Amino acid sequence: MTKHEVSRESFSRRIWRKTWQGWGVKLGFAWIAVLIFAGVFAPFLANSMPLLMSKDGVISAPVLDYLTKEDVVVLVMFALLVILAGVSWSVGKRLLIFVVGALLATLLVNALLKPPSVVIYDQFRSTVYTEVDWRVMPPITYAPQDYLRDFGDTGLEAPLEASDRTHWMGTEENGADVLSRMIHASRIALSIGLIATGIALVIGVILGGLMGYFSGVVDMLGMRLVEIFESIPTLFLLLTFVAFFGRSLYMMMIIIGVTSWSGYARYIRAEFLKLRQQDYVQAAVAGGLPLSSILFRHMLPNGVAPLLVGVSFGVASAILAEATLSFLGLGLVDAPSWGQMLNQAVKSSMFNWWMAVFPGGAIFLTVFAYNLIGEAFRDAIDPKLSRNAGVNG
Amino acid sequence: MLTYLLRRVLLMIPTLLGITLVVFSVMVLSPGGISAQTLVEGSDMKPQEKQALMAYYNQRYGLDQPAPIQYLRWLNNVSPIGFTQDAEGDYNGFSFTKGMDLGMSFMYGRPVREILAERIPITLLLNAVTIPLIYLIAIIVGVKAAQDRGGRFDVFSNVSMLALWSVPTMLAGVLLLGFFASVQHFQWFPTAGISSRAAQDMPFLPHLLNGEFVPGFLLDRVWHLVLPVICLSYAGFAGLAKLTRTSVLENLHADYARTARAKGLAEPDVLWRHVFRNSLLPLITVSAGLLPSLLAGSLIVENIFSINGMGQLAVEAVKGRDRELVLSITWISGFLTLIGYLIADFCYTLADPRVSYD
Amino acid sequence: MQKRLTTKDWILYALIAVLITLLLLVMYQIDRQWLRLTEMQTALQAQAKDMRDLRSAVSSGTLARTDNAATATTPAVAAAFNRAHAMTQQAGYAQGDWSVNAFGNNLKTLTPLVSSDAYASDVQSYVLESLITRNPDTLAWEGLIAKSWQVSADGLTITFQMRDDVTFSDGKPLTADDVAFTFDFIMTEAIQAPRDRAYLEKIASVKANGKYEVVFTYKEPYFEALSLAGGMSIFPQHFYEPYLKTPQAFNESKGLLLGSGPFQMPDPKGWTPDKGNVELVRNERYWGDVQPSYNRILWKIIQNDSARLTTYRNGEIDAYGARPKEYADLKQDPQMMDKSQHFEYMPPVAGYSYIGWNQERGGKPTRFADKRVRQAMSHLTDVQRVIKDVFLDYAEPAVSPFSNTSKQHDPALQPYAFNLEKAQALLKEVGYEDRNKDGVLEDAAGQPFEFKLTYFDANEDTKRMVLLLKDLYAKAGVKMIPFPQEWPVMLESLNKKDFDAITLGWTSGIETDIYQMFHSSQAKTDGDNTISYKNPELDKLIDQARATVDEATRMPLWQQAERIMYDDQPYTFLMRRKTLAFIDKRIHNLQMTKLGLNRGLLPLENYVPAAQQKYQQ
Repeated sequence: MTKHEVSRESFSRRIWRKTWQGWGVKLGFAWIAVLIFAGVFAPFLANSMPLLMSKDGVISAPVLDYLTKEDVVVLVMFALLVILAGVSWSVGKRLLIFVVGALLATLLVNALLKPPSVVIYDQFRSTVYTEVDWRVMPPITYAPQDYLRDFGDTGLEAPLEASDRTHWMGTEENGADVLSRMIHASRIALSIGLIATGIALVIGVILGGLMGYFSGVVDMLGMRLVEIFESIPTLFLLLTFVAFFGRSLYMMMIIIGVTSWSGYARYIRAEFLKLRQQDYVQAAVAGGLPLSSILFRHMLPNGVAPLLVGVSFGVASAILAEATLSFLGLGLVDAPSWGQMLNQAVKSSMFNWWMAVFPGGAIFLTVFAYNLIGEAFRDAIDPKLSRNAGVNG
Repeated sequence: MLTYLLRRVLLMIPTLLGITLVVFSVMVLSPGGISAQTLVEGSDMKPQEKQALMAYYNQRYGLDQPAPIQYLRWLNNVSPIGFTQDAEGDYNGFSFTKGMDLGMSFMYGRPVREILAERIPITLLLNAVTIPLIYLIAIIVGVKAAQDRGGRFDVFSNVSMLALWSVPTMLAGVLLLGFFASVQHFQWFPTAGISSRAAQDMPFLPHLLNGEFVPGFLLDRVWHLVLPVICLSYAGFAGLAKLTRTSVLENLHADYARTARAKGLAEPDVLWRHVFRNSLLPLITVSAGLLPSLLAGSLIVENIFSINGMGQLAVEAVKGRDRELVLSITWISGFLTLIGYLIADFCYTLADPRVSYD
Repeated sequence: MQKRLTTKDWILYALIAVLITLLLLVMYQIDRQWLRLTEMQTALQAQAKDMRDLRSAVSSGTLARTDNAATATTPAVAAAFNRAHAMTQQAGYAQGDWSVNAFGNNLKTLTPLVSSDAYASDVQSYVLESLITRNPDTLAWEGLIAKSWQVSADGLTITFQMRDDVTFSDGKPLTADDVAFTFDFIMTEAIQAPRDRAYLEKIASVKANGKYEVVFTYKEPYFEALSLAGGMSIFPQHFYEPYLKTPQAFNESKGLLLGSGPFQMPDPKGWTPDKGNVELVRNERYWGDVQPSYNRILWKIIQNDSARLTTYRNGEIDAYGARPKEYADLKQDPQMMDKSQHFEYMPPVAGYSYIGWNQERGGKPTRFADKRVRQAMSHLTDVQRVIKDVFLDYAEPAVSPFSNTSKQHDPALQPYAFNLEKAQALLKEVGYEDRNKDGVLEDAAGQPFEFKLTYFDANEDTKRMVLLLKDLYAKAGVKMIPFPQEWPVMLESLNKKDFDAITLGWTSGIETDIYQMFHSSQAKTDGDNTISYKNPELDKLIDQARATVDEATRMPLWQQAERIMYDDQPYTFLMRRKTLAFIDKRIHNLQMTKLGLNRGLLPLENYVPAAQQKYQQ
């Protein structure tokens, strides 16, 4: 009886069940969920302006007026995700709709939305916003780039040091609230991890698939390419790019992606070399199916599960790469980032524990969470896999 | 064996070319591009003098030529065989023995070869100390955890190794420096460099001079290396310990291990003489990937501990847009990595007689 | 059956490995001992040579005579050494110990002329000497190697009479020929010394007149003629002359440094950057009336900021220059205060920082070409606020390139005050208005007032200032985008004049020459007028002032030039920063002078009392 039940369970579901067994992985997912929540709703969680206020009987939501284009795109994407999780279409279809929807949202937002170009945060503490009938403030009443200019020098205040303002995690060197920056930085950390790994995955799967499927000369050339990218230290190339091209989050994502695909390509290639001898693939070829269909509809799903392991570790290392870059002083200028805040802990002469503990802790927890998830996947899929995967991250 | 070796070495050439080409394109395509400007520090100079200096550098490094020519020129200089140049810079012959010329560093105004000769040994020293340490700790912890499968030590080491693996190097470095090298907490270790000034005047080995203990050059060096090596090694042994555990575990329950036990061999003998030998294979495979990750790690560690190794040099070169230096560092670290792979493959044959390359 | 390694084999191999390592280590040690021996041998040889010279001097009777002369005129201390001599009379004075400092960066070369960084010139100042030096109390010039000098009536020739007892650290005497050689050497085209040549080009010739008299002749009157001639470091002819034949070897050398100063390189040709540390040893043959107190001067290279501070805290370096925020924090730190003396002072030569508004890009005038826009920006740049919030009042606002204490400065001029309304009015007058209600001003063509401010990314305080300015400008609807750059990249954009606005600093002297930054001739070519600022009226005044040797008529000219710049605001002048330093308590006799703190001033005025000395040797 039990036997029958197990066999009815699909492969992906079985893996998922096995993965979900440990407590570590639950903690990992819980932390990631917290990050996603913080990243998506950052403008509503930590901002200087009221969420909702009523002045002279007129009800307004200043926070909506100041939403940036990125905020809106992220919100739309999250909504799409929630909706798509509810419907029962195939994975590929849902993925397609999500990507198309996200692209559409980005285009629309860029064309239509005109948020104010400059924000003067002092004004939200002026009478225009304070002397109102009633107002609802976000839980953390400081925006990440609100350097509290109206209070004078507030740089590097220990948590809860100033009695007239509450900074649960203190302030950073320019006087912005650390907690607020931490919340907004979770978006950077998540996005850099996911997008960079996504790019790496796409390149790796396509190249690895082609190499594995065609073998021969294509394989030979492809392997040289893999070797090239394996032999360049990612960090060094990243450093070169940023030093020569300037700092931009999107560029960092692309470069991390472009330099870290070799592991996936290697894996997919090996898998495809095995698979192409299988009967069902030969049948598909004989049936005259187009190449993309053979590669991605027939062969890929059979080799995809172990990739999850690599992806988890890849996300972790992408986050670390961004933090390292910020640490070496080549990070973003104004935008909140954990690595940059950690850098401030080092740069300042006094050991400001809150600048090391909170951002450093966040980086650690996030990397730890992804590693835990990766481990769990690995154990669930195949204990022997641990021979090859993981360490090249 | 020899043909295999030859094939591997020949295959390295396109890879190395590819690496330098990638990095060179990055430099050429960047908004500022490569120019002699970085060499000529602006202030206090007459315009004509500045122009003259620019022209001099352009001529010397060939910076005014189109990018592909620049690259080929560089390649010709670096490769041990190639065209030779006469005094005017015209190509006049082909030689197999002209030797490698890595060029001059823009920033330092000295031959890159010299600079690298100073820096590489320092980084290699760090790594030479780190790699055995990584393996030692990883094997001890890994084997112990495997023996204790499911037990308290296993669970504890499993979680703590994963946690260690997730600690960012810079955080660890900063905390170590803050707590163990500062007068505010514990001043046990030095803050910067790899040897103290006093060590230069000391004898090499520890001595008792006039009843006073002199640590000597060697101990002083060891004392300086403690913190950087900890920083470099913890992530490595954390990852490797987990690998050792799985690998030993697999073999511990293999048929041959059972046979050995049945034969009446003592458990330590089974473990170390049979199981361990077989579990070594994945560890060796991984060792190839260890070197590049250590090189990347030294980027941060050397920065934190002010050690003048390759990592520091790489950051300096990139920030200074030093074309020759960046290119040389790229291909040398690439070369080291490839050599690492090669050595790993050879160790494989040593550890496992079944594997052979022909 | 395959041969297997047994435990016994392992032990055997391990033992052999240990033995070999031990053997290697011992060999290495013996090798090092040999090196030490050769070092001592060379030192002995040098001493023996000195003894021989002394003996021959005694036998020929020259020594006896000078001895008599010295006892006859008792105050044998030259004016330049007065302060140092006073130090030696203090109760706790003792010779010995080292001065240990830190550099934040690797040095590329120590060779004079070729080196360009401040670190190298710091080292060179202990080794090379010049004819005259400034008195730290009066700022007047005093003879160092020169005994006296005369300036001709037309200001075109300066004649120095030199001391006859000066020797270089290798024992060779320093004569007028060395001075003349130094000038010729620098002016040799093949020697890569464009910076120094640019300064010295006003000198027509330097001629030795006898063994101990040298004559500088100028092409045209120049207001800084004396300091230019007298401040030139003197190179030993016998040491540097061979390099005239191989200029390339000189240009690429790393450590060719020999002079007559109180300290010398242990090996005047041997230093290379890979040594990391820079170390000077006492010049045992120093000619000066007061011998330096330190035995050695050592510079360590510590790049990481926090590591540098920790090293200072641990007592391994003697001084730490702090950032304002740090300084304020560290003053509260008992451990720090327990071991340090702290100093905050405004050196008279403190440079000023500024924001330069680029007036021409790609041949077209930018929005900053309009004087009113620049004035508006100066009104928006709340310097007082920056000083208070970022520099914690350890700075003073700058009105112009001329220091507030300088005679070049017109005290009637006050720094531009923050005035939002006035700035807005000025911008409105030019035609800026928020036309599409997005919070940013647009000009008549609808282009938003948006610009990039380039700054050096490694300076934390500048970064904080830029972010503060960003918020200030936003209040007037001006959008500034912070644009951090690496040093070489920044130099490049400066040279190509490829930036909107840039914040940087210039150093100044006791008297500041503004020709290279503000004269319009410097904008046409690759000069330092990178913002393409042109004002014919100012040009005329600068030319006039530079050619006026008489101070009383020159100062009003400078003041007039200052007023023009004040109105034009080619730069928004920001501030002059105080030097904030912690210095180890064992260093004694630290005093404030008109040149700043007397640490590192030559002749050396600091010492460590015997009880507190740390380093023997």
